[in-house]
Amino acid sequence: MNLSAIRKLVQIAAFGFMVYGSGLIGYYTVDKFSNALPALSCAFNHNTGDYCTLIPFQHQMAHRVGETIANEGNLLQGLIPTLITLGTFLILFVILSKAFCGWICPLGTFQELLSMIGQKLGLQQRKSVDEKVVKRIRPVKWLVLFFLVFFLPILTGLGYASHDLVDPYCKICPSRILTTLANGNTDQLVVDQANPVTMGFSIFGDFLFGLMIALALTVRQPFCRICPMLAMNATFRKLGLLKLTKNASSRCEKCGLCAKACPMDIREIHTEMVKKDVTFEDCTLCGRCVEFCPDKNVLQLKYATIPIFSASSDYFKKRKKAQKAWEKVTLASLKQPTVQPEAKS
Amino acid sequence: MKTIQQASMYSLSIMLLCGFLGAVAITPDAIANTAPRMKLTKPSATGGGHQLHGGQQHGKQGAQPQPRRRGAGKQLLLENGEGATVEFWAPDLGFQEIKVEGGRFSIPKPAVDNYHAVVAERQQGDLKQAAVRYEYMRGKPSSESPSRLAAAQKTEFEIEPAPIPREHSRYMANKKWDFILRFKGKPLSGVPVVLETSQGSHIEAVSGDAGLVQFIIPDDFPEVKLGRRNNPPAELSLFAKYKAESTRYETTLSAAYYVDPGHWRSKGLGVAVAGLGLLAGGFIGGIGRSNKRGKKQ
Ligand code: SF4
Ligand code: SF4
Repeated sequence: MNLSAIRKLVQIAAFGFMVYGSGLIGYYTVDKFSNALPALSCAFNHNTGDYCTLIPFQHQMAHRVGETIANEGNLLQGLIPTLITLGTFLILFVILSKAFCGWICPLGTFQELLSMIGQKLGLQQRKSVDEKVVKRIRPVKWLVLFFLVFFLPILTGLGYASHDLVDPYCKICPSRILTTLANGNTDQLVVDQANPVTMGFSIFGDFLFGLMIALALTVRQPFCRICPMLAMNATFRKLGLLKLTKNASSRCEKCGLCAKACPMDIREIHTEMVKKDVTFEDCTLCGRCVEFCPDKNVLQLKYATIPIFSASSDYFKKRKKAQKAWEKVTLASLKQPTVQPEAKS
Repeated sequence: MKTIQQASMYSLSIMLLCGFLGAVAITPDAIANTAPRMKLTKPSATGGGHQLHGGQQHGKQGAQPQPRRRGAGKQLLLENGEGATVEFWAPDLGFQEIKVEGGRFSIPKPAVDNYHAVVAERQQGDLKQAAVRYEYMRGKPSSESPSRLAAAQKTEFEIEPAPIPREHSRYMANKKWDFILRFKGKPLSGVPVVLETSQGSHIEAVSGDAGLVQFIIPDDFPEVKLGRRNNPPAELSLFAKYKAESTRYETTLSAAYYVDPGHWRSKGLGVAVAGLGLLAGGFIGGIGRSNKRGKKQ
């Protein structure tokens, strides 16, 4: 079994736990695994096994930080819940690092599933997004993290923004709609006409959800590219025990297969010739670049400096063959009548 | 002519019989015609705010944020409960007695956060009455699951919320909620339970297997404004009675419930907007494909 197949199995299990896990661990917040997960598993889904860390951050910015400042209270005390959430997040992050994106996140898994569906339907896949477009999009995730997760909630706590902006990122988050729909609950796919703020955010959220679905059929991981959790994880990427490393070889310059395999279009994995740690800000540690690197030990996934998966030419050959066979199977190919040997002659 | 008269008489008697049976079915004696029920409610002065995360009160829209009194106690009313004892249960099942004067009392500042239970009990002759209410309290983080408190036997005859609404949730009109009827900790089936609201609704159901009883909370707010914060909550109470040996038991569970946000949230529009997103995504993806082909050529 190749790394991608193992990853798919982990993703399916994680999806089951994150989207339907309350039956296993309990319904209430204190029952949840951490309430500070470094992946978009949604608190609005009552059957979730765990919550993403962005929701406590938003509420704490509004109710603890913003309101403490507004009331001239003790800011350090106001920051304690945030520090507890951050501490929990960091413990998890140190253990699995950015692999929370590539292996655990239900929204990441859903986008990969859509991409697979698109390929099987015979929709022409965009192998790579244009370099300029990738570079232009990259800052968006930082802006979303800064404005929607921290800044607007603080403004709300200070009393300068509508109370409906306590959790502005949640209002547009596709995981909220996806994970509730996956439980047969349609309450989140709505236009909220309570006031202009809720209306604007809900329209944007619904539109983004539809846009993500359609794009994911032909473009790999479209939402991940602007996801604030990706930015959050990028901030602490040096602390994670799991890392992507590179021992550049002279053949790298002419190759570039790793960058083509990368679902996040990180061309720097190919072009970087000096740095050893190539866990770049957009990396989700899915390991595809290592699988498709034909040169022995050039790319490696290391856990606390110990290599756990390394590039090799044998693996590469098998993996490439498996990929070709997989891509050949499409709806159209299944419909084609089988050619009988007699007919050939 | 005679036949017509006879037919009319038959129809009239059938209608009367149906009416009588209907009346019995809708408001059976036992539950509807009891003396005023003992229940725990919120003083009306607290109405008008909105409860987020089960307890924290916010002002009306546009108001400045109020200073948060972390761990502050809450005012409650014990209706028709003269002579009852009141206990305040913590998530770890520790409890303390609370003094009640004139039916009004405050629950103390808790040591930890999460749901706490207020339990009132009274015995008058062969009648044992109980009233229970769950309140979300703020405090230091508690590691206890509210499921433990809800399932614990706090009084002999009890209606357990299964579950108590969690964060990002509250009792809401038009939604189905589950409860379990328990006697001495064991589920009790085949017992009628009535749900009444402060806005005059009355629904009945009978506990089924494993004591489970389900209610869709009625959408009975007389005037609905746009937005959750502009609609103060109302009160609901569930009531059941049961006789075991020579003792009669009555129990009430009360809670706040809120307007169905479906009044200002449109699912149809939501689907339409997501559809537009799909179209836009398909269009952008399509452009990508034709560009690619163009380049290839
Ligand atoms: S809406 Fe998104 S950000 Fe908010 S809790 Fe759900 S997954 Fe997290
Ligand atoms: S970047 Fe993608 S995989 Fe990571 S949290 Fe966001 S949606 Fe999930």
